[in-house]
Amino acid sequence: MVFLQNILTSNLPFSKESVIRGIKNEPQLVFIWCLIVFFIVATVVILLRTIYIRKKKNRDLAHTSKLNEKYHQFLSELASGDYTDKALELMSANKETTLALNKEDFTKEFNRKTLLKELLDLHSNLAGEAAHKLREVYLTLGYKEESLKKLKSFDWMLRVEGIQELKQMDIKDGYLPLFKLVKDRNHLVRLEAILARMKMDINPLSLFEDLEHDLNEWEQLRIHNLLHRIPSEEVPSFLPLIDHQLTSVQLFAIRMVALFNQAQAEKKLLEKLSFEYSKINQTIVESLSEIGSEESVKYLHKNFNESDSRLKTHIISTLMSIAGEADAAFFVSQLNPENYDIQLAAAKALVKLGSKGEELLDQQLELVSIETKNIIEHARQWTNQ
Amino acid sequence: MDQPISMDTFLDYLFTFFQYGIFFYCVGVLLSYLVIGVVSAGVVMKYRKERDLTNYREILASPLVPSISIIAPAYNEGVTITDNIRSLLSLHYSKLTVIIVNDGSKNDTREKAVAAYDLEKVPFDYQETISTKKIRGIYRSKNPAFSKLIFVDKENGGKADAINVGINVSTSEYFACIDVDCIIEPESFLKMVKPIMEAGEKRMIAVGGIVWLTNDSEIRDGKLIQVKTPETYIPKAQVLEYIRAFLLGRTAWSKINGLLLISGAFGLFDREVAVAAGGYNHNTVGEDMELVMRMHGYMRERKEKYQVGYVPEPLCWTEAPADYNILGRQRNRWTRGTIECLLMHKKMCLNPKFGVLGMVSYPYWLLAEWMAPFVELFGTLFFIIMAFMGLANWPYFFSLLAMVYFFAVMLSTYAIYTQERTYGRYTQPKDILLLFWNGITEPFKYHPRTVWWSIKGNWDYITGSNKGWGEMTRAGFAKKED
Repeated sequence: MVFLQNILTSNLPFSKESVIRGIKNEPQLVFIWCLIVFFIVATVVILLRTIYIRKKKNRDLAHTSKLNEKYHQFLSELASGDYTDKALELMSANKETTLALNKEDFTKEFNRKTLLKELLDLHSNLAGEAAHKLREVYLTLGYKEESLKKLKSFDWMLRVEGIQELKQMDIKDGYLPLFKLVKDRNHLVRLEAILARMKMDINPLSLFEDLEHDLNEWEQLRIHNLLHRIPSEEVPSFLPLIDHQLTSVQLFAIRMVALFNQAQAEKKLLEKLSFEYSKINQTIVESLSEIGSEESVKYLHKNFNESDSRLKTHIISTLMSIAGEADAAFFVSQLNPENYDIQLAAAKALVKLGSKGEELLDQQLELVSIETKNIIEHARQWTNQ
Repeated sequence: MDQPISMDTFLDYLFTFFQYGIFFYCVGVLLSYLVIGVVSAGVVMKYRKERDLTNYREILASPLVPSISIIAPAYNEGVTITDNIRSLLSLHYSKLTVIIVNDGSKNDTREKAVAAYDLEKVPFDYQETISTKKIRGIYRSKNPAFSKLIFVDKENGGKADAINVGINVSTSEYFACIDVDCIIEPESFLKMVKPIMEAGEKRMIAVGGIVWLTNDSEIRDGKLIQVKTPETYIPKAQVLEYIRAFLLGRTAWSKINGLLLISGAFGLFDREVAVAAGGYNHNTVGEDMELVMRMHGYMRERKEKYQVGYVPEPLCWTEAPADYNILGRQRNRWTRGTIECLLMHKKMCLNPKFGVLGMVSYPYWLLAEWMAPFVELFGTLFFIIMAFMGLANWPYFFSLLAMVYFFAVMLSTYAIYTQERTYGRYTQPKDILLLFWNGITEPFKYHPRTVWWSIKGNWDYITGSNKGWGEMTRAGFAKKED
């Protein structure tokens, strides 16, 4: 408080000398001026550092661009078979090759990183013999050891890079340490490990036994994208995961069952389905539209009246997909309930049926209220939106 | 019986209040800036690393992404409407609908859009889930190439009303509210959707992104080619202001789920929650902040787990006001908007039921945003009176003034540094130096004006003399390209 009183109430006349004398004589003011000097020094350091970073970025960008061009040409020619195995031997000895590359390209960190990036980019776009040759370059230049080392790094970014590199090059030595990372504390490392394991493990679904964290929708999307690229007969059956202890994995399994048309899961889904509203029930109903059969139609009809109104709209869409015209009368009956969403779903289902549905809608236009007429016209215009 | 307080005692109290109050207030604000700066830098750096390892294109073809409707209100946008719609239709996202709401424009906005996109009026069973002004018609294109486009023509009702119409028309899970004259980065929605999909158990009810300025930058075909520091002083001063506010400020608030404001120029909202909360409020000029506060309140009252997210990356580019009159009107409106929102939700203040929002965000906005100009004004007046009365401590005055000034310059430099470390959108060292120079001159040249506009905004709010938006004139991207 004394400090504050000094700051705020000392009565000193204003003159240059008194100000300077005041500052010199007061320890509190000396402290404030130390702070000011610190702010000034910090500002200058931050500014210089900012400019240095900018200049370095510009310089690195220009250098990377040149190197990329050089490496791209070299790797493309190598992949297309213009160089023999001799080239790889020379590279492994870190000697200047007869090619465009020199020792610096293999030893200097910046160059090695750029070369690796170019190698991975090119490899991801190639297949067969050409991709195999690039994999040989990766092994010959010792990148495999570096990638394995990255898996043990404290820096999560390096761990992610390590996984991505080993996954892309399909390095068997990396399987075990990499598979363990599905339990990593960093979510990105976990995701990359899951993706790598889905791709490399003989029994990819075994990873879900080890899973301790929820599988969020982003992770589900990434796994689906990976599975989407492999032949459908190699996609594992997701049926065993429908009863997984984590709800997020159940949801994932139900979605995958539909997206990969795994009709064998229909019975399981119907067993699991109840008719109060939940994300799981909604997803099951949506999935049945892809894999459902006559059995699903019967089951959905039987329980329709007991269902939550939010589920009813999804059930109508699913019935349209499975039963089609056979359920036309049912859809017409649903035009009348006092729930806008159900009416709209029924009208859209009829529109999707084509000429038969349109005919029924025309008949209904004579009988229904003006509100329902509007719904029908709306459905006709916007069903495919 | 208590003695009545004498005038001398009263003045003594007043004097003490000013002395200590202003001192502690300033120290508190400076410390809060420091904490915000450090927290934000960490969050932004981490985001940047994650972003570099993410292939956003993976989202493009996935059937698992949520659907989004872009809602762009248009008022008297006849000159730019065609280009703006084209720009929105070219955004990269699979489940996207573009809803343009013509808010009773007095010029040829509708005619231009109808002609350019071959639009025809179609039946639409408009459900007024949120109450709005009357709809004149809903249009869609005869050309299947523009099937994602819905054009709504309505009676004039203001921006909030126009967005509410868009929300009513939309059937998507999320809606994005944008200013029609903004430039949106092509991958913006891919980046905005990621935190939603990553949210897990928590419901991501809204996501904001950084809005940055394009004045004097290179723009071609509605796309930003190169970012440059504005040539004139006023937009240049705002660049630094935006970097501090968006890159440092909001990032830190989102980290603790205390973000109160998502810019009206660009934000993504959970449609179901926004509708349940009542949509945009017509009765405030701070409708963007008000909706976010109401959505927070809605979720808190229901005790549901939720998050308001923020993507600390420049995803939306807009043009800053280039003269003091327009800028003054904008800041006046922002002040009035802040006051209205804080008063509408005063029950949140220091209410533990609202968690971080009530205990930290709200009091911070109240003290550091609403009250700041008053403290500056009255602090200055108080000091002048003291000086005339011969009571000023000049060595302390100059020392504290220098301390605050150099702290402000350091903070601005730190913001420029964070910008460079993360996105580095200003590619020439000259641009960095220009921004730094602005940081040096801003406290004398620019800041006093912002204080004055805020005071004026408060006065207008109290007297009710200015309730509208005020006219905002922009040069427009399309015009500049010519």
